[in-house]
Amino acid sequence: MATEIIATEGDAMFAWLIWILPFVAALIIPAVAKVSKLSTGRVAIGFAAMSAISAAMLFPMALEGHEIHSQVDWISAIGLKAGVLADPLSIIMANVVGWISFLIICYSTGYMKGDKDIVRFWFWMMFFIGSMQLIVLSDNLLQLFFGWEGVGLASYALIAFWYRDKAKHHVGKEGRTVLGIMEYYSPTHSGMKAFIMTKVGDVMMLAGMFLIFAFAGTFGFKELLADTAWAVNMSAEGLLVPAVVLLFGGAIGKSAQFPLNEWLLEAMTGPTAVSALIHAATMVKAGVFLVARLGPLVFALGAAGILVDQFFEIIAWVGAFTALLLATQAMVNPEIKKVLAYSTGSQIGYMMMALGIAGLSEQFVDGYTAGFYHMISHAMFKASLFMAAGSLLHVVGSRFMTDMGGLRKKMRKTYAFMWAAGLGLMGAPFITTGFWSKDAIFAAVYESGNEWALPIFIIAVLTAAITAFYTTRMMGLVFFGKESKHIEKMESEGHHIHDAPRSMWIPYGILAVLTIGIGVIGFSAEGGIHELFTEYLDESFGIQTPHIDVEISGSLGFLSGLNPIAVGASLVAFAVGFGLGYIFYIGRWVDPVKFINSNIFFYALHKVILNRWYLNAMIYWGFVIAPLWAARAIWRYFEKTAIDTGMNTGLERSVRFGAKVVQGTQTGVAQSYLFVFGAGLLFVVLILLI
Amino acid sequence: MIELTSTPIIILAILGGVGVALPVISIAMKERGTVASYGIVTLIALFASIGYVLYQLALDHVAPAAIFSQDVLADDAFGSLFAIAMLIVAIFTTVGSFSYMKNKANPSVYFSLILLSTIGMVLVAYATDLVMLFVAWELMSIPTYILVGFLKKDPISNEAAIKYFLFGALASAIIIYGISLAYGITGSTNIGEVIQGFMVLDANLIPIGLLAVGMFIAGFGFKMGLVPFHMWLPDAYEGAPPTIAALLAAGTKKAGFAAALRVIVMGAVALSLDWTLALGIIAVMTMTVGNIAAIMQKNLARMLAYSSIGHAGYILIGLSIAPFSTIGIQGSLFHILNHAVMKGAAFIAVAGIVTALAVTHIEKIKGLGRRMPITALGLVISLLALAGVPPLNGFWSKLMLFASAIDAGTVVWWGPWLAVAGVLNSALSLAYYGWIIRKMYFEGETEKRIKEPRAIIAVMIFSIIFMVTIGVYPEPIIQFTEFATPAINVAFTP
Amino acid sequence: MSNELIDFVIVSVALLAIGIYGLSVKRNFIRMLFAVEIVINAANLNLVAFARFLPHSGGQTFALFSIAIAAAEVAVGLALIIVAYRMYKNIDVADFRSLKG
Repeated sequence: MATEIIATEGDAMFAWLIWILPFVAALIIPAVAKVSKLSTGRVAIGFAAMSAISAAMLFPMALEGHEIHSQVDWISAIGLKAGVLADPLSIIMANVVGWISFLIICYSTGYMKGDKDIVRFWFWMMFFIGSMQLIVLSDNLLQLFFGWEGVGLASYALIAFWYRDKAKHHVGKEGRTVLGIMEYYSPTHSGMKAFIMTKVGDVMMLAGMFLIFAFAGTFGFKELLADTAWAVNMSAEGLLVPAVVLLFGGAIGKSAQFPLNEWLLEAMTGPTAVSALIHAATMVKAGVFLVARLGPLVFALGAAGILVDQFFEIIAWVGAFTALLLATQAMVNPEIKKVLAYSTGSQIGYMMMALGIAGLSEQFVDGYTAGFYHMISHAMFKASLFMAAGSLLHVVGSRFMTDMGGLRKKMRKTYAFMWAAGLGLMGAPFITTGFWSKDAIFAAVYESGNEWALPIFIIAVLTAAITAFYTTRMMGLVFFGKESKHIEKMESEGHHIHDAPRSMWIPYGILAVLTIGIGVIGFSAEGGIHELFTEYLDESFGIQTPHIDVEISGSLGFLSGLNPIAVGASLVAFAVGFGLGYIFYIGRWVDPVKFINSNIFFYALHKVILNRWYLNAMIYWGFVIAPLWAARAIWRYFEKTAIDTGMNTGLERSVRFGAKVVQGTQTGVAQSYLFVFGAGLLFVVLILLI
Repeated sequence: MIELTSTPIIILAILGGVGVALPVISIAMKERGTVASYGIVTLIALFASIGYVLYQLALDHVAPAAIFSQDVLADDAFGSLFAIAMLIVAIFTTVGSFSYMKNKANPSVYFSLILLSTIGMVLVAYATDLVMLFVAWELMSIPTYILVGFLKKDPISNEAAIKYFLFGALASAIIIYGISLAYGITGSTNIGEVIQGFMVLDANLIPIGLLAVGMFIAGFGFKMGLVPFHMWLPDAYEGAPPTIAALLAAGTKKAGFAAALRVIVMGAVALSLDWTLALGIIAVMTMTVGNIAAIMQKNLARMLAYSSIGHAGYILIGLSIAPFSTIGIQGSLFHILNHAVMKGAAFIAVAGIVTALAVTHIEKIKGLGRRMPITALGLVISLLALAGVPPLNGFWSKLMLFASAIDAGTVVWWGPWLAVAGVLNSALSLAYYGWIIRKMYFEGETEKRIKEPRAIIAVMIFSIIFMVTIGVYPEPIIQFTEFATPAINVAFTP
Repeated sequence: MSNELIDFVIVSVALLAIGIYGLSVKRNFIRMLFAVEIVINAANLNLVAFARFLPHSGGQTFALFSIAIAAAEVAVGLALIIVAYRMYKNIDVADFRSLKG
C-alpha cells in the first residue's frame, strides 16, 4: 500500500466539501429563514448529513492508509497556500465529528423546538461544525488557527445563547460562594469566561506558531516534516521545546486541561445540544486533535536525535493531573450537566496522558492509538449521555439531580440508554468501547517503560475507579430511590413525566447502542486502528514500530493480546467504583450525607472538592479581582496623572488640532481651493525639477 | 486597427446605444416611463457589458496587461480590471437609484448620464492614446457635473456641482496643456511613442517633459483626490446625491488611477526622475489629511468623502514604489478593485439611509442597527473592510500594499515609512469608523424597524458576500491583478 | 524656425498663467469660465503650433477635438450657473460656501 497514491479529483473534492458544506449552510440559513423559519432545521440536517457523507466517502481510503493532500494558492503574493490533508488520522476524526454532529443536529430539532432565536442557533451550530472540520482537515497551522478561532467564536455565541440570562439557564447554586467568589454564573458571563480562558491558550498557540514559522518559513505540516533543518536550528537555540509547548498551550485552553479547565463547567449554560457538541465533537476534542496532529511530528524529530522529551512529559502530566482533579469534583457535584462536564475534562485528561506517554515510550503507536481510540469511544458515549441529560432537563425542568430520582419507571428509554452509555464511561468490562479504550491506555502507560510510568498508571487506575463511582452515583440519583419533592410537585400540578419525543431519543439511542455494539468487538476494532496507525506513522512520519504484538482474531483467543495487569487493574477499578456507588446511591444502604459528616477527614475532603479545590475562586481572585484592583490603582495614581494628561489628552488634542487645521483650510470658498490647486501644481513641478 | 469585437468597442456600442436612446425614448413616450423601467434598461445594458468583459476574460481573448498599443485602445487585462470595477460601481449606482430617484424629475436623463459617464470611465482605462484618453476623460467628467447638480431645487447640490465643475474644467485644461507639451516634444500622441520619445529626450527639453508630467499629476490627481488637489472633493461628495457620490468615489476616482498608471508612472519612469519620492510624499500627505479631517466630521457622506481621500493615499503607495517592488502595482490594483466595492457599498448604504430617513447627520443615525438592520450591516462590513480588518477583502489589499512598501525598503530608505504611515492611518481611521458603528448599534433607544428599500438590500447583500468571500479566499482576484499588472521594469531600463 | 516656435510657446505659457491667475482671483463665475477657456486655448495654441513644426499633424485634429469638448463643458457650466442664479440671484462663486469644514 503506497501512501503517495494519486487520489482522484473527486476524493479531494470530498475532503474540501467536508468543511465547506457546513459553512455554506451557515450562510444560507439566514436567507432560508426569510422564506420559512421551519425549513432552517431541515437545511441544517441536510448539510450536516452531506458533510458527514463526504467524510464517509473517504473512509475506505483511510482504511487502506492512503492520503490526499490537495492545495490551492491562498494568497500567492505572500506565498500562502490553503489545503486539505486527508490522512487516516483526519479522515477518521472527520467521520467521528461529522456523524456525531449530524445526530446532535437531529436531536436539536426536537430540543430547540419553538425557540424564537432558532435561526441564530442553526447559524452558529453549522459554523461550529464547519470550523471544527476545518481544524481537522487543514494541512497547515495557519489555516488550522482560523478554524480554531472560529470554534472559539461559535462556542462563545452558543454558550451565551440564552443571553437574556434567565435564572433557569444559570449554572451553580444561587447564593453559593467560595472564598468570597460567587459560584453562580449567567450564560453571558460563562460565554465570556470560556472565550477569555481559551483565548489565553490561543495567544500562546499563536506565539508558538509564529516562532516555528520564523525558523521554518512554512506553516504546512508536510513541509515541516519534509525538511527538519528548522528543528535543528531551533533546538540549538533552545527554542524548539518552548515553541511546541506553546502550541500545546492552545490545546490546554481548548481542551479544558489544567490550569485552563475552569471554563468548561460554566459552558453548561448553553443549550444541552451545544454542550453535547462541545464535549463530544467540536470544541474540546480540537485540543486532543492538535496534539494527535503534532505528536508524531515532534516524535519524529525526537527520533532524529533532537531532544523533545519534556514536551511529552508535560502533556502526560497535565493529562494525568487533570484526569484526577476533575474526576474527584464529579463525585460531589449536584448538577447533572456539570457532572458530565467534569467527566469530559477528566476523560480528555486520559487522552492527553496517552498521547504524552506515547512520546515517552519505544512503541509510539501504542499510546497514540489508545488516546485516539479513547477519543472516539468517548465521543460516542459522552454525546449520548449529554443528549439524554438534555432530555431529562427538558422533562424535569431542573438541572439538579436532587430534583430528580426514581425516574426509571417513567422514562424507560432514557434509563436504558443512559445505562448503556454510562457503562461505556465507567469502562464496564468486555462489552463497552470505554473498557477497551481505557484498557489500551492502561496497557500503554504500563508498558511504556518510562520512569513516570508507575505514578501515572496509579493515577489512571484511581481515576477509573472514581469515574465508575460518580457515574453510578449519577444513575442512582436520577433513576433510583424515591421521587423527589420537585417531581411530586410537578405530577400533582398535572405534568405527566415521560420520555422525550422521538427526534430526541433516537439520536442518543443510536450512540448508546453503538457504545455497546462496538464494545463487543472493541478489542479487534482497536487492533484494526492499531495496525492502521502503525502503518500510517511509518509511511508518513518514518516512525518504526519495533514489533507488533497485537493479534487480531475473532474468537476467544483475542484475550491473549491483553496485558493482564492492565486488565486486572481495570476490572478492580470498575468493581470498586461501581460497588461503592451501588452501596451509596442505588441500594442506598448508607446515607452519603451522614457518611461524610461522620468523619472530619471526609468532611474536609468533601468540602475542598465541592469548592472545586478552590481553583476557580483563586483564578477569580488572581486574574479578575486583583487585576481590577491593580487597574484601578494604576488608573488613579498613574494613568490619570501621567498618561491621561500627558499622552492621551495630548494625543487626542493634537489629532483634534490637526483636524481643526485641515478643516480650517476647507473654507468652502472655491477661489481658495483653486489657489491651493495652483500652488500644488507648482509644488509638484518643483519637486520633480529638483 | 482595433477589432470591432474588442471589449471597449462593444461596451461603447452597448452603453452608448442605450445611453443615447433612453432620453429619446422618454420623449417619444411623452415622459410617461417610470424610474424602474429606465433603471431596468440601464441595468440590462450594464450587465450585458460586464458579462461581455467576463466572457472575453473567460475565453482568454484578453491580452495580459499591454499598456502600449499602436491603436488608440488596447484590449488588455489592465483595462478589463478597471472596466469590471467601474461597471460594478455603475450597477451599484443604478440599483441604488431605483429607490433614490423615485418621485424625482427626469429619470431617463439621469440614467442616460450614468451610462455615458460609465463609457468614459471604461474608455479611460482602455485608452492608449492621449487624444483618446482626453476625449474619454471628458466623456466621463461632463455627465458627472450634471449628475452632481441633478437636484435642481437643492442649493447644496448646485453648489457642489459648481465647485466640482470649476475644478474639473481647470483639471481638464491642465491635462490638455500637459498633453500639448508632451506632443510638442515627442511628436506623437500615442502613449507608447510618447514614452519612447521621453527616453531619448534632448537634455534641454527635459524640463518641459517634467512640466508635462507635473501637469498630468495635477490633472489626474484632481480626480484621484490627491492632496493638495482634493479640496473640491468633500464638498462635491457631500452635496451630490449619495448615489452619485458612490459613482464618483468608487468609479471616476478609479479612472484617475487608470490614467495615472498609464501615463504618469510610465512617463515618469521614462524620464528617470526622482518622481517616486514625490509620489511618496503626496501619498503620505493624502492619507494623513484624509483621515485626520474625517475624524471630526458630523456628516456621514462627508466623512466617507474624506476617508476616500485617505484611501487614495494608500493606493498611491503602490504607485510610488512601483519600480522597487514587484507587488506594488499589483497591490494598488487589488485595492482599487476592493475600494470600488467597499466605498460603493458604503455610499449606497448612505443613499438608502437618505431615501428612508432623509438624514445624513451622524447623530441622527442612532439605533440604525435596529431600524434598518441589513443596510446597517452592509455599512458596518464595508467600514470594517475599509479599515482593513481581517478577514475582509480590504485587509489583504492593504497588507499587500504595506508589504510592498517594506519590500521596497531594500532599495529606497523611505519605503518602510510609507508602510508605517499607512498602518498609523489605518488605526486612526478605525476611530471614526468605530464611531459610526457605535452610533448605529450601541446608542439610541428602541427604534422600530422600518422598511428598507429593496434595491438597497440587494446591493448590500451582494457587497457583503463579495467582501467576505474575497476576504476569506482572495486568491482568484490576486491572480487576476497579477495578470493585469503591467510590467513596469521593461520601461524602467531602456 | 525654432525661434518662431518659442514665440508661440511663450504666448501659450503666458495664457496659462493668466488663466490660472484668473481662476484663483476672480469671483464672478462667468469670468472664471473665461479663465478656464483661456487655459484650454493656451493648450490649443500649443497643439496647433507644434503641429505646424512637426512632421506629425495630429495636433491640429486634437485642437479641433479640444475646442468641441470645451464648448460642451462651457454649456454645462452655464447651465449650472443659470440654476444657481435662479436660486441666489447672484453668480459670485465666493458666496457659495455652505459646504465647508
